[in-house]
Amino acid sequence: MIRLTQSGGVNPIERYRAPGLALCMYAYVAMFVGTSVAHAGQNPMHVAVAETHSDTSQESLSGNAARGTAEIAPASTSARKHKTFWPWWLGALALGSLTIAFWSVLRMPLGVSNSWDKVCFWRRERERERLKAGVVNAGPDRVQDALLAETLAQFGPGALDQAVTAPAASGAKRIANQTAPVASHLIFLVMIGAGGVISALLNGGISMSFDLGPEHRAYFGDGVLLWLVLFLGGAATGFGVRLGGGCNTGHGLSGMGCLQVGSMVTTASFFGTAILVSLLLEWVLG
Amino acid sequence: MACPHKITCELFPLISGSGALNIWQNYYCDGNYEGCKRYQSTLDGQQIPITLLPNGRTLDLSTLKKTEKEKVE
Repeated sequence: MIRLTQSGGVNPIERYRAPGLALCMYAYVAMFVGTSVAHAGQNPMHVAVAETHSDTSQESLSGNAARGTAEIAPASTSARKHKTFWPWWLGALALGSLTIAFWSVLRMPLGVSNSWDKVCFWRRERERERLKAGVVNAGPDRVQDALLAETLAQFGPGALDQAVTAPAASGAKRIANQTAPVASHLIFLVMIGAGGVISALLNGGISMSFDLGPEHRAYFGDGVLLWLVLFLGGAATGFGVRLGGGCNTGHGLSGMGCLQVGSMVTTASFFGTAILVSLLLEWVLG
Repeated sequence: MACPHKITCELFPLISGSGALNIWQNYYCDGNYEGCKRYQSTLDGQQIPITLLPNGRTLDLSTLKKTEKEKVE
């Protein structure tokens, strides 16, 4: 006789949704606002950019390896604005903490492209949520019984013999932690932008730019070629992300954090390709 | 070698370390995980419903009748 005893009754999706969303919002706001807080301190890494000056073609790059600083300063220093970023180790701690917190609350590996995928295909995700809610709401006993029926069909009655001595299942309760509704991914993506806007406002304001910096503009100008390059770059990135099953956040932060070999290879290919393309551009375009 | 997707698989908590259901873990997750339909679907870039079983069948709670439950017991 098989006796499966489970406790149920609480919908775990509802239980974890609110704190999950709250944590995501808090983490991203804190992260990007923290960038501005660091601005007030004596941060050793400074990047000075001219966002409001129209003539940025004469910008020059200078570095100071001894102090670990790098500055991009325009020839004309009027209207110069300083943006200060966290030191690398603090950024690493923040991103690592965010990755762990994301997993702890949502039981989902942190990944921007993954969230973007779920938001874009929200109808599919809603169907998945509906199925999941059906399993959760069915209750542990019913789920266990359905699984046992499938076990009988797949492996035969002999597979159930061990159930007499084996402990009762606890998995149906743990499914509570395997939940990340589409809304949490949407908020996650929105808060990335919101955090960036807040940080920019606290650092002197927002200015629009349609290129990737002076070097990029020097290579591709500011006409049709620039937009074509950006479009092709975005398409190639999207293709690569789908092909590789994730982007640099998913593979670089979450996957490598779990010591996944595939993520290590993928991340190495991301950054290796970026370095090679940069060197190639430098070599070809001078 | 165990399935690398165990940590994110929604079904795994239901079938792991739980009496008779543990046979799914032994057979698929810790054994022939490349034969698991959930694993295969993940490699194809698909989002996997929680009701998809490793053998490709769908866990249908709505058709589970009381007589079946009693038969299992």
